[in-house]
Amino acid sequence: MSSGDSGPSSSKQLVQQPAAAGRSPNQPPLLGAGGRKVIVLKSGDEEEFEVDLLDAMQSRTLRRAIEDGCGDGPMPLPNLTGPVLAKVVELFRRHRGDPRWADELQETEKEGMFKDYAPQKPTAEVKGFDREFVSVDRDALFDLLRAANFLEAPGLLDVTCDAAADAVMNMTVEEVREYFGLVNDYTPEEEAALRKQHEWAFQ
Amino acid sequence: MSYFGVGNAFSARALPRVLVVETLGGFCAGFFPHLFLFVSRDSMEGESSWISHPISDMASEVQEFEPFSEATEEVDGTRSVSLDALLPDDLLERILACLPIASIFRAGCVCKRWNNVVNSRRFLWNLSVTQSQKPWYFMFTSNDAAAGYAYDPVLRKWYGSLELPCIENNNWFVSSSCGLVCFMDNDSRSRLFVCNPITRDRKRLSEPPGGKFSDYSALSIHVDRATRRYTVAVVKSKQVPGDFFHWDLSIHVYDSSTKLWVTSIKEVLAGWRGGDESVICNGVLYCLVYRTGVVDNTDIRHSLVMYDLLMRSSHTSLLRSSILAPCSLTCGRLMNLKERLVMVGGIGKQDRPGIIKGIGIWELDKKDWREVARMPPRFFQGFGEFDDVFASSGTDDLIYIQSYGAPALLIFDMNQKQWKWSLKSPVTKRFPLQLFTGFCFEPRLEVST
Repeated sequence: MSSGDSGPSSSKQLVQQPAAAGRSPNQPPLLGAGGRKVIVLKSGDEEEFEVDLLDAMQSRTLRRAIEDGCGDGPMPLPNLTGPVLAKVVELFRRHRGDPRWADELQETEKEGMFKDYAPQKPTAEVKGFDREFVSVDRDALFDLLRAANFLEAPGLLDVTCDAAADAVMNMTVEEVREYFGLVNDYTPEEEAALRKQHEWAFQ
Repeated sequence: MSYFGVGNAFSARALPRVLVVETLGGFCAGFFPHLFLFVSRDSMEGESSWISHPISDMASEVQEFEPFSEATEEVDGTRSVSLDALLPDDLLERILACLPIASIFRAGCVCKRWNNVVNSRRFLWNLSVTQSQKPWYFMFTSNDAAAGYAYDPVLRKWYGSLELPCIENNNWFVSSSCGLVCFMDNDSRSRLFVCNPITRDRKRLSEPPGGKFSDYSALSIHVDRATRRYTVAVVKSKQVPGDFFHWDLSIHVYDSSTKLWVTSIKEVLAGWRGGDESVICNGVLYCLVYRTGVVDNTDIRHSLVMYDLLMRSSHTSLLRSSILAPCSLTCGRLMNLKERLVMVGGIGKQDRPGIIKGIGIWELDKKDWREVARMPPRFFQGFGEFDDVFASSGTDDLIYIQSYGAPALLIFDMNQKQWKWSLKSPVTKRFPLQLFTGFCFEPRLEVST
């Protein structure tokens, strides 16, 4: 009798749950189109986005939340606006299978959660998408940077940090201050001394 | 209830790690309020307390918490003020680590906080892991000073006024490895310096043993990428007095961890002499030797001797185990390209070995030379076929080849097997006999002497 209760399907569900002591087993994640597991992310302005569980795992922050059982209902992300979250969700979808975080997912994969996960090299299409993704103005880029940082998503961080670096790479010191809204806290003498150290870099 | 807090949640990326440790096995209600309602004083005030610790230790480092509202008041104001203040140090580090070196130096001038970031040990350590700078080429502009221009092949840009420390003029011996450059004067051959040309960090080495006045000397440096220890080798060659056939060859090795020179080997070569070309590659010191005495046009005049620096021994005589060059060479140069021994040289004409018909690149494969590439005629013509003297220097994946007679600079990429001219150098020829030379080095901020 007891062996009948722990059938293959229920034991599989149990394996999917993180081993959190003292917590009752949660509902399995929502199932989206095609039977994929999805979670729902809710932006600060109350917009909801369905995300493939596999894609959400690209964010360490979301992964921890899901592993702690927070993925059952809509997951509120008040500091991300709808438009930012929409972009991020789209990037996660496009980056599915990116080998850059294949190692990280492997552990989860052992539990059978991502058995259909197939790492693949970023295609020219993905690279094109990435370029398009960061072709935005400064304020929008900063929103994406902070979202990347908050979500701890390596792919999103790479793309946005590269874009920020590209933007300032050829700027003069004054232009960088202007771009980041920084106040120069050097005395003129201190700054002159610093410039003199590596004069060639300021030509 | 909001799991993800309110307001700015981007102030301390180190915190989630901390709280994962604290709340392992707990559930989300206990997890997220910590995450975003508190911020560490350390991370807001700069990196002074965590730079010297590995990332895995950070959890125990963050002790003081303060309510987040204090931090938001500081940045309350226009959007332009908050842009920077809301960028936590590690996000700023990530962005700055994507920049080329010149831009990093400019970033250090932007404000004090940025200066602290780009000078922090953690930033430099990350840079060494993530950054893939291609080697630069330094071209001397004058024969009697060490001034010149440095070429960045990625940005295709020449930098002027990059002053090399220590070196006094362009006839000094130069060798480079992993961001460090070793210089030795060409008069007494006893003044040796190791420096990082980018940071200008420098050190003078003690005088190598073996007497001051050798007929030929060869200099090489090798930096171990993992430990950053370096080895400098000087190969000295002196004719045995009154004897045209025999030459004394001695190898002297400096180890940066012991700060001592050791004379490793002395051998008398019969019919061969040492020269000024050597390199350390994969723990082995390689050195070109040259045939002396009566030389037939059909004789190959160069040979490669090897000395194992790890074993500190050679099984037989250096000369007996040497490997003949693949053909008659001029301007043979040895280089270490990712621990593979590569030789570049002019291929001499059969009847007149001093006149070259092309420039070749070979890699040593065990005991055999394997031709990697030959300069295509259209590039070789650019060098002037009669200009049979040229300099070459390489490291990482790049080989630079420069004709002594003109400031043109050709680059060969070992990975892509591609030849490419550099952007036209700002150096101009001012008199007919002006010679152009240079050397390549890896631009690295994090390597010190």
